[in-house]
Amino acid sequence: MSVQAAVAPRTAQKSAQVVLEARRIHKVFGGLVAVNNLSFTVYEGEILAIIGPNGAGKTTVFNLLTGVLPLDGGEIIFRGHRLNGLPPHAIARLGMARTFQNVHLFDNMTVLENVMVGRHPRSRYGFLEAALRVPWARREEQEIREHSTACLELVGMADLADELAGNLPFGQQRLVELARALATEPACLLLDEPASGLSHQEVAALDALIRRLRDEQGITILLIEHDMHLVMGIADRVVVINYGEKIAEGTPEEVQADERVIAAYLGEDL
Amino acid sequence: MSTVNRKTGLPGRFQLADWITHHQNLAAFLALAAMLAILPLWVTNNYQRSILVFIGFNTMLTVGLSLLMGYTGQISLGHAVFFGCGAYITGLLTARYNWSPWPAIVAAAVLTGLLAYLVGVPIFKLRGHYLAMATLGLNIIFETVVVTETGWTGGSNGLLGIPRLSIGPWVLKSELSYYYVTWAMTLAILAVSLNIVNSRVGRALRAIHASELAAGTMGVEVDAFKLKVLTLSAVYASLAGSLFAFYLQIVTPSSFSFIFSIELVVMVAVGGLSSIWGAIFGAASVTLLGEALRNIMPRLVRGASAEAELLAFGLILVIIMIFMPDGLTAGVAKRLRARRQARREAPGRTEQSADAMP
Repeated sequence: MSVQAAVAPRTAQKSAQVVLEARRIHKVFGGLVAVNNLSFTVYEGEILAIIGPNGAGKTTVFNLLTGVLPLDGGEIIFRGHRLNGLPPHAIARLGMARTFQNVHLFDNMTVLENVMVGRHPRSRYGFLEAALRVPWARREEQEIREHSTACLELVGMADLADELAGNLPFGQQRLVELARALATEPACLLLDEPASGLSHQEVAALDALIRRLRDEQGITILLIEHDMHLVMGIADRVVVINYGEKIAEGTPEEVQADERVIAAYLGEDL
Repeated sequence: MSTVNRKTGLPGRFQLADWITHHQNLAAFLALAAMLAILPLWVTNNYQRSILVFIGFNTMLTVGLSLLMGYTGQISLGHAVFFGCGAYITGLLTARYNWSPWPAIVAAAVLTGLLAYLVGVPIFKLRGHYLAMATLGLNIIFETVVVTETGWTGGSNGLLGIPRLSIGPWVLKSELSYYYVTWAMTLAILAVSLNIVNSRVGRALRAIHASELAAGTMGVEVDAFKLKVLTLSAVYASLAGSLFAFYLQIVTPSSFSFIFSIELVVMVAVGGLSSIWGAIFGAASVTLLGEALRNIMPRLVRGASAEAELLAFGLILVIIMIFMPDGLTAGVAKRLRARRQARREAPGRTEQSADAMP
């Protein structure tokens, strides 16, 4: 990542490179407009939070960005590639990774194996090479294992590498999911409510970890989060959506002072 | 320790027990191969040897189905059809067109694989258990085609005049020779499958089973992998079918009925859905059970036939799925583990409950 973005992301963002751009993206479920002509830009090396009341369409935005749901309108440009119509695996290969609001681990696999699946888009050997155990497949397997272990160490879960993922408590499952996403070597990481269900200490650790990912690994981070303390402390910029529409955008301070945001969150402490 | 030995290169201090723990699959595979090699010394009766040959066929089928169902979570109710395609194509090419056996085996595998691929392409575009539906239909189509196209297939009388399998100048005639050829092929399939499940590909398949959504967003080409594993399992089935045709020298539609498709699913369920080793156990135990039922049922129930056998299989499947959804071997293993753990924790229990007291 550029040093500039790390040091002064809040002021230097305009000169930083655009990583991801959503142009008037639109999604309709039956009669319900879940995402309504929403546009936003994500700059390299920033932490952009997407907030909004429950049901505002935040997760739907992530599903559109990662190709899980098809767009009904608009377009998404990611590192110079148009993502419209691409399947999720192709988008992952381009460098987009995500976690899920309600954790989607592979419960039938160990913690390490879960993370090793994250190496899939960065490795190549297939059925034939696996069946015959050709030397370069075994070398690649070694790389997959080492890199995945490193990712587990980064989130502090290396000790539990051989545990079944489904047996872990929720907070640790979130960390495994994060390690798995990191194993794909993402340029852009989408975190869907990573702090929900975590204790205060765990949230503090998560806060530090997210900053490290941005500062040390140069990963651009998109964050959906309800924990306003975390969001306002960590985000460089915030996009606020309600009923699928963008109602405000700016620094945490600007957004907190915005009247439409206050109205949308009426009664909640921002 | 062997790790030290490997570095120092001292073969004299090689420790077998240590090697086995590091290469469990390879050790088990070699043990199985050795056991199969000497098994005919004790099993000398031709009827019993023929059962072993059939266990071999069923293992090839079950291993493929385990990859598809157990690992990837895609249910096929039509594996008897892929088995039948292998048998009929091999039979037709050798009996009617005088092909030599091995090119016919390869051609059958390619064509059967292609059939599975063509079934899979549209099916995997849909979400849900459409593969089960489509393969269910495949049984009906296959049976209809085989029974009505009598000019090609011999109809319900079967396709006759299939030559013996030969390897070079050596023509296989005895039960023993088919036993060895069948199990050599089975072991090859087993080795390939074990390598696949313990690899990037195996992890991708299990990931698809657990969560297609997460697998896709982690970069796994979900549809392509489903398609490939379906094709691979169909190729296994075709290889089994080819050997089956040479072994019996006649193929009839009844060998590839829908009932047999269900029997294969039972074998996978008994063996444990995601276990290649379990697949052998499932194939062996269900084949033996089927054979036993065929002998016993007519004595118990007057006029009982294949239907009674199916009834028993249906019952077994229902019971296993209710009480041990991971399959019989995995279910039993889990229960044993739980019991052992309970016993281990038992001494500490009094202490814990004392702590919990106010």
